[in-house]
Amino acid sequence: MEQLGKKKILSMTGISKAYPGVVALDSVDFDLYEGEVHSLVGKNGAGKSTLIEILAGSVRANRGKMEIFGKKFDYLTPAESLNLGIGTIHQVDQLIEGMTVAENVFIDNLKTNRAGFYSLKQCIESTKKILDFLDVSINPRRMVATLSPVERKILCIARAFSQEVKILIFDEPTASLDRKVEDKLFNIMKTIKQKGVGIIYISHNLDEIFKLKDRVTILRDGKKISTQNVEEIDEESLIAGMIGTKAKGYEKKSKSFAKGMKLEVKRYSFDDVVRDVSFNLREGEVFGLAGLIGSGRTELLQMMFGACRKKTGQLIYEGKDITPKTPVDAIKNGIGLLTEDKKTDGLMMNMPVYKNISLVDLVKSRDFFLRLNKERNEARQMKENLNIAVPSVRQIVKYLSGGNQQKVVLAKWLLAESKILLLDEPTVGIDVGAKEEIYNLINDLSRAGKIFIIVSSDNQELMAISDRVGIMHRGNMVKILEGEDINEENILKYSL
Amino acid sequence: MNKSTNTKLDSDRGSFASIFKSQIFFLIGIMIIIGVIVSIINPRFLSVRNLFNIVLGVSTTGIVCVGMGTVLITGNFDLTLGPLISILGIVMALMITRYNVILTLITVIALGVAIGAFNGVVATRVRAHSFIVTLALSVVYEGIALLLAGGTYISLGGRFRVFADRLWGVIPTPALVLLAAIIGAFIVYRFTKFGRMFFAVGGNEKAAYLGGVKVRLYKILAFSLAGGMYAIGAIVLISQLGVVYPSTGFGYTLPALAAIAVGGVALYGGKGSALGIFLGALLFGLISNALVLTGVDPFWRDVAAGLLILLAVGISGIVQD
Repeated sequence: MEQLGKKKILSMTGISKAYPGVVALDSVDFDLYEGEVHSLVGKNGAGKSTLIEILAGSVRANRGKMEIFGKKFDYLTPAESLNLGIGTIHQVDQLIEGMTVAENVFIDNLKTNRAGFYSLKQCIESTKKILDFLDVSINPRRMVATLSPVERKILCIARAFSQEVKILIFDEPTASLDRKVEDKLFNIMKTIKQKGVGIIYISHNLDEIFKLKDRVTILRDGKKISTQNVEEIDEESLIAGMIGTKAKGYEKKSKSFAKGMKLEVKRYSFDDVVRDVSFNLREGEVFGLAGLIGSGRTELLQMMFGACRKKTGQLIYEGKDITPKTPVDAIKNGIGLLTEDKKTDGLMMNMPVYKNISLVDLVKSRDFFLRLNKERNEARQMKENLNIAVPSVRQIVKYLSGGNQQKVVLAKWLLAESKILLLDEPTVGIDVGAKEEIYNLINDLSRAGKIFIIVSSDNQELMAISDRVGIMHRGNMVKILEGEDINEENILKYSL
Repeated sequence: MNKSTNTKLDSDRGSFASIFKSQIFFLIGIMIIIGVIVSIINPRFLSVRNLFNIVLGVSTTGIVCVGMGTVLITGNFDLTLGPLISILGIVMALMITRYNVILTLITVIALGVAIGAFNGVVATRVRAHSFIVTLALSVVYEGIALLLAGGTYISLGGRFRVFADRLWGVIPTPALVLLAAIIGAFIVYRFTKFGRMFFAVGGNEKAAYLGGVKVRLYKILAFSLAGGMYAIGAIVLISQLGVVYPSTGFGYTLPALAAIAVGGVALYGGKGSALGIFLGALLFGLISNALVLTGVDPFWRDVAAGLLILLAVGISGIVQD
């Protein structure tokens, strides 16, 4: 795979890294040419993060050699890595909200005037230059708190360019972004690429790999499976490489609905956020909620759960008013909420799996004493049923992969016998294999009569799992798609 | 890295390695080391009487640590501990010379629970960190302690010396109260629903709220329990001393906090054990006893004790990492 006329700027050979009990990387080779995008794909735990951490100098490899711009290294320190011109755009940005764009760009290298004092003016001048270089326009005087998600990402890139950058690593930059604005980011990447910077790109979203082109390396269980030109590979073989077997693919099983509506969602509204939203659901129905970020979908779920203020709105289940005022009410009435960010509001990360699974069930019980054996057995049963890959239910949750964590949250609500499940972005940051498992679970559970309302920004996902898809736009439910009408064009048409 | 997918067996037993990494193991280890060194220098260290003296020395601290530790487990701080010991001790002294002992004790404990509940309500209502809120309250309580006592000491008049005694002349009675407190905390933390809820609230308040846990209620409950434990601690302490000064309790807050932290209760909540709290308090008593028995100059004892605690915390951080 010669890149004609281009210089190889990085080559890593035989990189191995073991942690107690796990081999994170097993003799992996990786290289990068100037001005190319080299994507890195693999399931959670395949070793992608470890590889880039070694490049960034935050982790040392046990074995292997690196050659960067012709210089040989056994390992790098973070400072060496930066000095070589290696920058990283982290998945979660580390911006300081109360400062301006310019100050954030030069936070570790504040510009001074001739007298040696810090000068905002100098910072702004220099920031303008960087933003021009990236071919974007953001006012350097704006406060970070006022930026949109994509502008924040761009700011992170600009910050990387406050020093000379020759290799830029992107770690799932689009995970928190709307599909619509992704192109903005990709355009910047093209600009950077043309200036000769080598880009290492990590993402779970395979569409992006095909958009960004050049080369892709597949990692699985710490081993390199292949490096190929993107043009010579298709999505199916990419997935097959990642999960090891040929992708089974998710297939929705057919179901028949009993006549009549089971759950009425009536006239939910709060100011401009959600405006008079009503829809009805049948028993066992999976109702997708599409729309842009900020269209009121998350807020609607939170209101239905009683976790967020509302002006009006009622939930009628089997003719009975069950409108929850608080989460406590919601739980009493068999409603469960799986939030988007498991770390901040879904799981007690430092506690064992079984204590997380039993929480809601325990809250509902009137026992004074815990029944520890019953608790653990039920958790084990859930682990079996949902196929949670963990050696013991005593394992601390933070050590689980994203997909398994999501299953733990789901198990929590299932154990509490929730009938109505509200899911907010259930598969964000989860690898392909685990995604399919979650889809199958949703499918099976809905066939058993559970009602799902699922917010997702992944239209493919909505198309795959929903019986109907409601589309929200600026707080309004603008359209409910059914059957054949559920397709990408329609979803996009009504979302925008 | 995700370790879980590599192993399929449900072994379901705490791994052997995790025992060595636990705070409990570490605390016991460090106490044995100190014990061996001190008993070489001064064999009297290992005498039954001295060992019980160590436990006696940490009885009050240990009892109130259970209270403050419970608040910490919910992810909150309670810095009202010291001044409350004083207030409750003063109320006890004022009442005991006039009224029946049982009535006095019940009143003091009820008052402790009530003040604790008040702390909890304020801490959950004021939109500031409980550290600051209870720090402010503690200043108020210091003032109240001085007002109540009129700036001077109050004697029990020789009454109620139960906790200055030793059972069969050997076991100090406060040690029995400490034992009961630790066992009580163990049962609450491990086997009761409300104990588990303290951990859930501290483990992730938002997740607990969305899981239907009445977060405010359990926080107030933890503060109330703490108030009750401070009352019991005050009763034990003042009975031993036979006299109470307004400032008697003031010095207890920070050592208790340090002992709890050394005992492995996470300052961000959600983590901790009754045994850990006990061992944390015991380590403090052991260190000060060791410094006396090895003949360290009294003026240097605080310096040495502080440094040893820092060392203990430092090593435990490395062990746990």
